[in-house]
Amino acid sequence: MPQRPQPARSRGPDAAPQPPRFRTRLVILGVIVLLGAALLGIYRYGAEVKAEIDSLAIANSDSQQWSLAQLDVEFARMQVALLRTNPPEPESVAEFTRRFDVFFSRVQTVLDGHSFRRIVASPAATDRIDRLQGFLRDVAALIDAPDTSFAQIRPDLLTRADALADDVRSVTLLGVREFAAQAKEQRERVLNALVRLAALTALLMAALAGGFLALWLLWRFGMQQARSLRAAKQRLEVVIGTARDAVIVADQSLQVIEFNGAAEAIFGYARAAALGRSLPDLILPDDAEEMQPGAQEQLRGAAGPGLVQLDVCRGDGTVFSAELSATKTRIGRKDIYVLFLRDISGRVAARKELIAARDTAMAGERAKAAFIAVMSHELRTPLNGLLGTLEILQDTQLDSRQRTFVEAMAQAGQILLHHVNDVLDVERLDAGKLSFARVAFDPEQVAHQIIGTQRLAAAARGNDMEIEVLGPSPGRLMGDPVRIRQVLLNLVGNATKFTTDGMIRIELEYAFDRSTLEIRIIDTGIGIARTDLPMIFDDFVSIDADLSRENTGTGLGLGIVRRLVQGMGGTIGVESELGEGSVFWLTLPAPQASLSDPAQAPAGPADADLSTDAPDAEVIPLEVLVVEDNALNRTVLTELLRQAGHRVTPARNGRECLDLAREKAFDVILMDLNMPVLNGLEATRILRTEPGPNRRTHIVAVTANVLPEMAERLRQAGCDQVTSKPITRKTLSAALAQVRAAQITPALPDGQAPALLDVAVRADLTSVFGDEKFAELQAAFVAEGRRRLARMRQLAAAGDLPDYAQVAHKFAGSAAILGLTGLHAGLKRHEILAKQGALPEIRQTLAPLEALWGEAEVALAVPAPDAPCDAAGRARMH
Amino acid sequence: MRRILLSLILFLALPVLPVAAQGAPDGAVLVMSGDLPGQPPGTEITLDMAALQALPVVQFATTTIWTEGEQQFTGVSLRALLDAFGIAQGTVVVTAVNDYSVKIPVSEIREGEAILAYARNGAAMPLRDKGPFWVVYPYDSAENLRNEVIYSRSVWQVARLRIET
Repeated sequence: MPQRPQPARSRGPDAAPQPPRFRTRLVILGVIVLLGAALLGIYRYGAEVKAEIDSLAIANSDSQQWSLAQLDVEFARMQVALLRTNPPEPESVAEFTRRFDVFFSRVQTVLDGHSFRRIVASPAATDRIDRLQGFLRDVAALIDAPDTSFAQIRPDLLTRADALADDVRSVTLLGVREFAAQAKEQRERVLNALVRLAALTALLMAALAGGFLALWLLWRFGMQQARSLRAAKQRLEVVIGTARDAVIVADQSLQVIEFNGAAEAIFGYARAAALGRSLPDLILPDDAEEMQPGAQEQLRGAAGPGLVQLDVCRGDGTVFSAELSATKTRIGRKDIYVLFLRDISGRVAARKELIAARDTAMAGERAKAAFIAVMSHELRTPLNGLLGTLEILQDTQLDSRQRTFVEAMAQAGQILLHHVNDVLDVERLDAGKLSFARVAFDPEQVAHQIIGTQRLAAAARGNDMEIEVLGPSPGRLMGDPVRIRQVLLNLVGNATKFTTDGMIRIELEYAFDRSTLEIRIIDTGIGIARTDLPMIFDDFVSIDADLSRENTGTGLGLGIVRRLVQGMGGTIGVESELGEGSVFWLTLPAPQASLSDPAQAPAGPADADLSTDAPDAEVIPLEVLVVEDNALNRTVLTELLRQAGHRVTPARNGRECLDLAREKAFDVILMDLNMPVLNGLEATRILRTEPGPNRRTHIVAVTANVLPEMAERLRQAGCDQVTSKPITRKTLSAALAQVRAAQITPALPDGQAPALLDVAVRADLTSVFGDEKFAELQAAFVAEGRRRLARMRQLAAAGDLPDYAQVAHKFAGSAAILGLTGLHAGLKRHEILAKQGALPEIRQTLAPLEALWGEAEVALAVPAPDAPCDAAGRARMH
Repeated sequence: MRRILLSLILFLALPVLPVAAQGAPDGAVLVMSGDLPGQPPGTEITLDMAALQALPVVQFATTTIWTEGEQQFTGVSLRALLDAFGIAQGTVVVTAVNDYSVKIPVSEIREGEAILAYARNGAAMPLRDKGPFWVVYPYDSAENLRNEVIYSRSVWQVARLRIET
């Protein structure tokens, strides 16, 4: 079987968990991105904060405020040094010069320094800075001028310094304010950076918490999954482990991957030993390939769902029957095979035993039935003789005592005869030998007849009898009045038997719509216990045990009634109450009769043999061997042939046919083809090649389907004629007409003379008897043959055909045994002609027969030329 | 080696001592005092420009936060100067003409960092222009040289180094 892609099924298990997995990945990715972004942000803002803090450190460096304050301080010290130059001594002047230089340097520092740029550049400072620079320039020029007396410039310096004091202080204060503002700005920047950092950190913490929560949820989900998986696995293991059936799981290459406890017990392998082994090697018998082709495929579940029976093998080599259920399933991308195996060797054995027991029981039952039938049949003839003789005895002179004895004997004999007839009826009904008539009859009339015969018996027990027709009278119906009478007689008899001082009523009701006649026999007798009702129609049931057994019966009465009613296509039933009475009802299909329908034949005895096998006076009887395995066909053929006046021997298969054909010569063999044991074709071949009385017998092949080539094969095998099923009276008589024609016409098919002497037969006989003994037999045969031929000539002349036939028959048998097939055929033909009363033909063909004999004598003399002809007296052929 | 160098310095320095003490404008001097190894307590050693210039010359260019643009400084390594006096421990108290003063632990004076510059952009520095000596660091060369402490140690108009142990 080609593997068809199964997208839906194969994707199923994969596709289902995909959304959660995908979602999980998305979540993890999101968390990573978030964390990354947060880290990046923290790094960035961290760096920013660090830069701010750094710049804070740098800004504070050099103690800018101090540096600026020094401007004021150093200006003041310069002023002090200037005031001290009174009188202007060189030390104090030098000190002033140094203080001026220091102040000069300080001003330059302030003007050049990065930290003071904003102060210097501010509009409020511009004028003062200019004046400051002007002071420095002018004073430096005054001091540095050569040949200048300090005393001269001192007042100017004092004035200038005083004028500048306010500017210096203002610049300093400006710086203080500026620095304060700068510091504030800086603090705010740091604060902002810190706030951003804190916010980001909080965000990061939140992201981390979220990530943690997600992870925790995932973990919990995973744990739950794992737990439920574990539980499912454990459950499965328990189920598999405790299963009574062997559970085996195999992979794609049928390697065992699971082997449960039951499998260990059943196959006798430990699980560890079985795992990894090839399953076919493990459990299939070595000869599985030949004995059970396809067994491997069955292991792969090729048989589809459901159970298959398979012979498998235990570890110790014993083979046993197992019931296998194998399934292929797909896990992931691989196929695996799950096999359930149950040891059913016990069941198989039990079934065999049961069948054997049933067969034995049935065979026993059949044998018993047959025995009873035979016995009954054999009993009836002498019984009839006895009863007849008793009747004659009753007509003779008897004293009263003897008469009492004879009457008692006659009564007992009648009862016995009745029982025997009952048994025979059952046997015949069961064997289907009874046929039912279909004639016009009047049911009311039948009922009245019953009342007429039973009224006395009923009155003897104080019972009244009546007939009631419910609804319109049906008039004449079609059916078997004899059997209906038998049934009613039985039922009314029973009613009488079990009723005292009561009423027995026959009700008739005809259902026109269904063409059904219903008859009810109602009594007011003792009734039947509810528990007994179901078996009342069974054989050999007597429920009148507590009554005096004056009316002993076989217990077959109601059984026969049931069979008769069912045989007529009807139904029967009973309703009863203990102490109240019983109702037996029966319904029979009975169409209304038309006027043209024949009336019933004169009523014969109830047990009349209905077979109408009257031999056809015009027919020349033939000995027919019917070979047919089907019982029904065989019976039909047999019956048809018998009715046509022939004698029939039935055989169930080719083997039986051959056995019978060895013992007796038949005129014709009707050969079925498909038979057990030995089929018709083979049987025909053997008949034609083996020596025996039927080597030349006309064989009619009876087959269901005659294809031209089959007919040809049949002819080649030796069949003379082929006729197709179904066999009817017409085809049968046509076939037999051909047989007769072939017998009467001496010429053989294709104008061939029959082989004079069958060498094979002679060889057989020689090997059985030895040359000497065979020679003796031959000699005896020749002597007797001469005698018989002479006798036949006499009889033919006298016209004594029966005797002629007898002699020809015996002569033919002897000829067949010695393998003189030509002679046998000729004699056989004469026998038939004699039986047919064809005297002219016999007289005409006597000469050729004698010629055949002459040839036979010569043929026999060839291998044994010295055979003494005078040994004729020792006729041992018979 | 160090002793030879010291002897040389002292030999060069002593004769100019009176000049420096006079505070001559051209004769800028550096006074070393305090616990000088191998010297009696209270000893002051005056180093003039020539004595300092006799020591190995260190030169580098850097910007400063007090000046505009890159400046070329020439001077003597502070470490080498201390080594010349065998000063290996203690604190150097650097005092400026304007009476600014800062303490620098000897252990933090490393070769390749602070120099006592006596020239800026190839010229000697007058008192009006942060002279005559200026402790400067190569601020541009390393991050750790651009901080509050380093800036506070960058003393200009240096007049005196006193060693305290």
